[in-house]
Amino acid sequence: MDAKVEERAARTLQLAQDLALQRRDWILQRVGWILLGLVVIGALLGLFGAGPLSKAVAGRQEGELWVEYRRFWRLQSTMDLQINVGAAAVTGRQVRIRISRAYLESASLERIVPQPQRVEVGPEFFTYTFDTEAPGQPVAMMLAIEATLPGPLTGKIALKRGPQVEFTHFIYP
Amino acid sequence: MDAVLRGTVVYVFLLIIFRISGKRSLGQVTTFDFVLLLIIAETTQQALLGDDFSVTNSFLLIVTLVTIDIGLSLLKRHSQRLDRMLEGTPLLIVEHGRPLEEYMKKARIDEQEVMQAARELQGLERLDQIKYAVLERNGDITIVPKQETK
Repeated sequence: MDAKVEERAARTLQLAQDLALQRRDWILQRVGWILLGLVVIGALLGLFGAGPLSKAVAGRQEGELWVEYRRFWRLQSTMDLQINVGAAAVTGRQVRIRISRAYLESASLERIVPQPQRVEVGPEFFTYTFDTEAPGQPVAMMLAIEATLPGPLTGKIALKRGPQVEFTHFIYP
Repeated sequence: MDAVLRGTVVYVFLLIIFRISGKRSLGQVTTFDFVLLLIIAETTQQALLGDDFSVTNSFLLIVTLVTIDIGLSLLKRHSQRLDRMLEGTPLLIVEHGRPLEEYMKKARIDEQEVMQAARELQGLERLDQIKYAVLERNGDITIVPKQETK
């Protein structure tokens, strides 16, 4: 049918139809619609930022140290990071947490709640010291982080003389 | 460098999106389509500018977008294939008063839209007065009426 219509149209109307291309177009369009739908579903699930697929935990939950972070986030928008220290690791009146310098170099630390008592700088890690209410109680610190570079972003967080956890966000441009 | 990259990425992205959404989105803009376009423009603007609101940045963006546009139009003149890929091809949808159902369905055009165009453009009353109806590349429907033989 295509060839005949095309031929008649070209003869009488001078119409530059290209039905083969048109049909390819339609197929690509429909594939495109499916892709758009998948993007929307992916976004709802958290493939591009907030959502269940993006939520992750590094380290053993209810252990000595675990970090709740986002697998996927976007450039220049603030993401939450929660550092949890289990009861077993809070022995004295202070908790000391080390955050890798490389991490803080490619992401800016917008906020840290509560404010640390003291910050020490080292070649590889920054050490944040917090006073605790009483030993033997689990504590948590909330960080707000804004990635300044796209791509994978790896952070290391450790307890001073304790376990270390490593996690990677993927930052969309 | 940022402005040029942003401009290029957004240009290509919008080109693909509007191509995927099909001709219907561009021709015959309804009020709601218009509102949607405004929202798209507003959303794009932020991605384009980022957090740099300087005059230089906006100039660079405008220059980038216009340059790509000119470049593509030159390329399209050289390559008919590219032209057809980017802009699509016209499509015959009514032939001698007979609607070509399959094409109309695929192109998401119904008979009423053809008749609307026929009334607007030629003052025609019935489908059988249409010799040819063509869905043009810009999404408009054009009508060639049958010659009345009295």
